[in-house]
Amino acid sequence: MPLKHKIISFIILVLVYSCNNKQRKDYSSLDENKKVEIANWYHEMSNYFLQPSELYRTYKDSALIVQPNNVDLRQRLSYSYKKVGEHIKAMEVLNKAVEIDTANGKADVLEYRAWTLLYYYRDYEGVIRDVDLIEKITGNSYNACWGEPCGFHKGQALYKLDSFEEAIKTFETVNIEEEKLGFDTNDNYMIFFYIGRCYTEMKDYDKAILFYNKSLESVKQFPEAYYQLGLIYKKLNNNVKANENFKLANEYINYGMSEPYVERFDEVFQYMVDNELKE
Amino acid sequence: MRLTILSFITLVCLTSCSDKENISSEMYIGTYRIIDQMVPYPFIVQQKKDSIYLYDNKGNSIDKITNSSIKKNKEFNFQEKHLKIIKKEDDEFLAFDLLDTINFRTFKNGEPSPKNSAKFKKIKSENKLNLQKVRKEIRNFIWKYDVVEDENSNPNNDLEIEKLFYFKNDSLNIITNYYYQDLKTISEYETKSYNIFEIDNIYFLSLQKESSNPQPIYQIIGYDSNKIELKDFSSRVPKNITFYKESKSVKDYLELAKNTSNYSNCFDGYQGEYYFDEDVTFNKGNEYLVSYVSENIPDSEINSGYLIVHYNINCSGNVGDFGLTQMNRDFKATSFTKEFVNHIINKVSKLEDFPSSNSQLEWLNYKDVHAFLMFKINKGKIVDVCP
Repeated sequence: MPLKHKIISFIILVLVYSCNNKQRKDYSSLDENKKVEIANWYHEMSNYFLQPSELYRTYKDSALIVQPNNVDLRQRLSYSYKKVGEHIKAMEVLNKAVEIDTANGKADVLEYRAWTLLYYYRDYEGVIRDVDLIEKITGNSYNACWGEPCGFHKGQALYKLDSFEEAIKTFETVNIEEEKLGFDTNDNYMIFFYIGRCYTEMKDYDKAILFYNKSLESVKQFPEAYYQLGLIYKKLNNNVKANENFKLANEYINYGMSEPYVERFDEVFQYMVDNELKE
Repeated sequence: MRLTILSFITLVCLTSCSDKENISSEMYIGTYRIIDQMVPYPFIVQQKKDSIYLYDNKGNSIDKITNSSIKKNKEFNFQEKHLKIIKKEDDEFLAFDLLDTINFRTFKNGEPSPKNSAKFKKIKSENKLNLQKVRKEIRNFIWKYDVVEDENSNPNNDLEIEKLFYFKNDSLNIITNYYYQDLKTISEYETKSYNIFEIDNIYFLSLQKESSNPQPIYQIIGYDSNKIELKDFSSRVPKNITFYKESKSVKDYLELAKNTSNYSNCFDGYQGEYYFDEDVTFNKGNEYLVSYVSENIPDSEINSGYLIVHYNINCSGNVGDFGLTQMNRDFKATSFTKEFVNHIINKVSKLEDFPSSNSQLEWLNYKDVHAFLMFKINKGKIVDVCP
């Protein structure tokens, strides 16, 4: 048996037979390097088990006993609860991580929480609060929240709170900042889409059409943009154009915004397109 | 002469000690396999003299190996099960069935993985029971079990769950009732097979469904006319549970069962999560759910926060096995009115448009998934649904 398997096997056996031993060891006297080493070991072992399992959590908890201020571990532990809807515990763990991180003048966990609050909890006020705090801590007006610009999250939160003008301004700031960084903002089809949604809600249909088309210039297979265009043309009594767009939404329905784990705002589902095509 | 007597006594003593060792009987119950999934492993292994017996979940002796010892052997090679002993302790052992390559996944190099092995726990005889009497009497009554949740249960902070059992001659009927603040919100009904059997003064209640859907074996540790006491080995720490005699008559129970919707998991051992493979989420999206659940919602609620309904989606796309968590906007526990909660859970229980929940993952077997819907409530109105 390879050494790795032997080690894993040994550890599992130890675990299986020692699971009821609740006695806590005192790690406080260890030097930092030793603490990191032991915490990493527990962390690596937890990953051997399914993320929502009790064993995964037990190992992560053990790592945190050794290194209570390790915010990365704390954040990872929160996933185990969040993904399965154990949200009281998930947020308790995550909020503690944010508290430790921000006390150290860092915004890493806050960036993750902003993303989480938007897509998992739809806590729009919380997103705005967190993104503003991130900007304050980092001193930058452009930051990344779990792979997306934090301003994009704040813009969506403002849009959902009906603060459309402020949302548009926030989305535009993201584009300006990305241009400064040398990005091609024509690729920001989601930002254009949500600017289009804001203008739609403000009943400025010409501008809305402009931005939906702008997003379609970047991504042709974007059923949500076609669907929204269809709705606008329907409102404008242009049934031919409305129908054209609903048909395109139908054609590209499998290329929608669908994300793993969560649903994005204004995702289009087949029944919605079917209802429009029936009319 | 004195020497002869002394020798005789010594000989008798030695022989009797040796006999005592030979006739000792030890029994181990299969608890679960795969330690982070905990799928029931309903077998019993018994050491009797110099043989090891294997029993199935109905108490039938299905195999025997002679000149073997649970304490000493490193493998128990039954005809259809080659149990390699991974680890042995005084009161339990881990075994890996080398012949069952589907349920016992090895490391890539073919070596047994302890994580995927099955755990056997030593059991001993408790109270002496008249099993014939138990079998006969339990069929005349309805039995109630206030569910003691464990790591196999769906997340649930706020529902009280009770199971009502009716042991018929050929099947066990189970009604599961979910209560919120003493209000029965929903109920489910399912049937299983069962067996009550004895092996050397140790008594068992086992449940059965299809052979591909293993069910646990419980040890019966006590019985009187008012209660059945069982030991449940399906969680990491075995627990004692009690079924109490219920005042409801069999006639009333059967009437209730007739009006209760069916729900059962397709594979009780382990449920995947909705996000494990392709997301198993409602086909019409959250916007639809907001308006569907908001229809006729009681207007008495004024609280804000989140209401999370947990459930399983089975391989037929039906939902059941509920749990409930409520929290306020600060993500701390709270509670909504019972009329409000009752409405939402009942609406969720009637949802049908879910994609297939069968696992497409080669490395993880499941047929049903656990999922949840989190309703964001603003002053008694549903304003959003996540995830």
